[in-house]
Amino acid sequence: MTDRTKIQRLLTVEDVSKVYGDTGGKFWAVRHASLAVERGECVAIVGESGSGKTTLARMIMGLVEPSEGNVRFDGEDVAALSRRRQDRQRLAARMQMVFQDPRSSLDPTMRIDNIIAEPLVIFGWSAADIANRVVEVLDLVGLSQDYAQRLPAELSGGQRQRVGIARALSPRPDLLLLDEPVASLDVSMQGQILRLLVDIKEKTNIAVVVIAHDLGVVRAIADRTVVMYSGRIVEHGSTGQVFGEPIHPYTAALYWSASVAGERAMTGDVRRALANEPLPAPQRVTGCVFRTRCWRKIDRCNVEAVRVDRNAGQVAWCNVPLAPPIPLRVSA
Amino acid sequence: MTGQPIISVDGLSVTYRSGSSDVRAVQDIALQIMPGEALGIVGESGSGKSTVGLSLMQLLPRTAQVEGSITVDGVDMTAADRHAARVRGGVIGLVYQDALAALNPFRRVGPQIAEVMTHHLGYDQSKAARESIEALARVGISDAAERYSQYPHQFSGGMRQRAAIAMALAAKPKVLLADEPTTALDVTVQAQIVRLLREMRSAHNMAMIVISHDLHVIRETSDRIAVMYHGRIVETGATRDVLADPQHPYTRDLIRSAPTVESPVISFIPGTPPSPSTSFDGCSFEPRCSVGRGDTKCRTERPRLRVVPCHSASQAACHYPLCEASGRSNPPDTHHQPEGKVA
Repeated sequence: MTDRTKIQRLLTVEDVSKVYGDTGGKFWAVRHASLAVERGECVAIVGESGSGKTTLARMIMGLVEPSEGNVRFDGEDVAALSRRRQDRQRLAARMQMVFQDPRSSLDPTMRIDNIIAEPLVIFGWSAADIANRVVEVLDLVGLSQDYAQRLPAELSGGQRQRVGIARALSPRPDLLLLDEPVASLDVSMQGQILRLLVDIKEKTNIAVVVIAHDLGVVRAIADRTVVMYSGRIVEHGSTGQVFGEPIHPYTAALYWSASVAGERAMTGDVRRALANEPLPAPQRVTGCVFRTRCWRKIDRCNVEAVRVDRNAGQVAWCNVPLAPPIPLRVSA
Repeated sequence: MTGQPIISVDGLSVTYRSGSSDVRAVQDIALQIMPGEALGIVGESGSGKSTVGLSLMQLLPRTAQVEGSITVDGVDMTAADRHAARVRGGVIGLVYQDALAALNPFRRVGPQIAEVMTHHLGYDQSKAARESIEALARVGISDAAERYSQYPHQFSGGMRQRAAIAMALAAKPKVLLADEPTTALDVTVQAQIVRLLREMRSAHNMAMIVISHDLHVIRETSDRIAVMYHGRIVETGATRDVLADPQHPYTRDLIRSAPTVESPVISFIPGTPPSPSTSFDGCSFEPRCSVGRGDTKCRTERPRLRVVPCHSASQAACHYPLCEASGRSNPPDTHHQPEGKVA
């Protein structure tokens, strides 16, 4: 990486950790996570429940302060900005979040136009600018202007999620973070929101971070993917590489589990290992966090997980990395 | 698979009365399940799929008005409330989406399974305890004897669903009814539970009904499929045939709607599923249909579920099944990956 590309980076997460509890019983929700997001890029954070993906997202947004490391947004330290009300508002105008459930994240008593305008009122926009912007973002998310006067209850789930996205886009943020944006929607509706996200990214050059558990969704929209397990980033790289030629056995297991051919092709060894229980939280501080469920585990995995670099920025932490050709590889 | 169906449903309609409006959740459904057969019911929220499941168990709320007949193992379920308790658990074992709802959080896991055996099979305490440890081991729980006396919170999500399946199977039911059995689970665990359901079905020689919004789960667990939309079955047939060569435009578009790791293409059905309280003279999918949208026949005449003449393998409720409509169909909106992004 040259200095020039470093300057372009909108978001950098540098070796952040979040620990809960005191010396009596420490729980590392996230440990030593690093990633970077640039303008016009969509990065997915994939993980199962308890992987730390939500905690990492909260640290990115400045809602949770990292115990170690720091998050930088356009060069400024997010945790420091979040401590002062004025700075936090300035940050919020540039970094917006869309929540999983549009039913609980929209005030049921507020009209759609007021919901979308609310951040702009807080940021001190003029009434005329606000009115114009509401018209603009409704159009951007594909809702006709008639919806401006309605209440959330009059909208379908997909339409409500459009309102959530419109509200987040209203202050023209540079970064949009979406937590499971389609998980609560019906299958036939999910594509509408995914398409909208792709369109918005192309139209506005906004940076998008998506937290998701559905690999199909991730593969359809993300340029790069970060895979988390038990608080650690175990692999990241371009989405095509991460799922096409995974380095970490956990990434491969995720991919196989989500595909018909992969599930059939898993050997008995793989299946038996995956059925094991995850590593108990107190033991997550040393070695590889996936070792109790890994079919390739060696003694060294109890102690450490070494970094593996492949071409074009694909990185994993594993002592027994999968190497191309990947066994059981599922052709796309 | 010959002889008597284990479950036979005919003309089933369920209406929930809420205030002034009636919500017609299920309308005129017929189903037959033979011993040992697996049926998958797929649909989106509000399609009526869960109501069908609840009807079989007589677990509908009192506000529900049921028409039609439901026969389970020779017992007329709509007529005989007192038989329902024997059918529940005894003839049909139930697995829910949320294993925490099936297991009592204040009681140890093993005794909850043993209780099912003492109640339905008349086992004494010690036999029931021995058998439930066996049952836990059979669903893939290691250290079953130790796990027997643990509480649900000491189990991981996947293990709890395994225990819930062991409990559903405890009375050796003839049918296992699984309503969204994998929805609350992590991806790697989902695959394990799907496999376990398949293994248990063949080991116990049971019939199975799997209700899910997830076509992947249905594909992996069922012989036959019923696709529901707005309270009705719109297509049914062998799972393999229907998923490979769907005849109802809704089925085809639903299959395309879910981006998968293997085919990460964004596709969707325009509009939204109708609310169950809306009624249609014609086909309820017409406003969203790429084939029949705006067609007078589709708008005014309700299509009946029938064998598709040009495709004898499955039945569809459509005036213009896809094998006839090849010239009429517009492809749904799709968004292909930019070049080079897919490995």
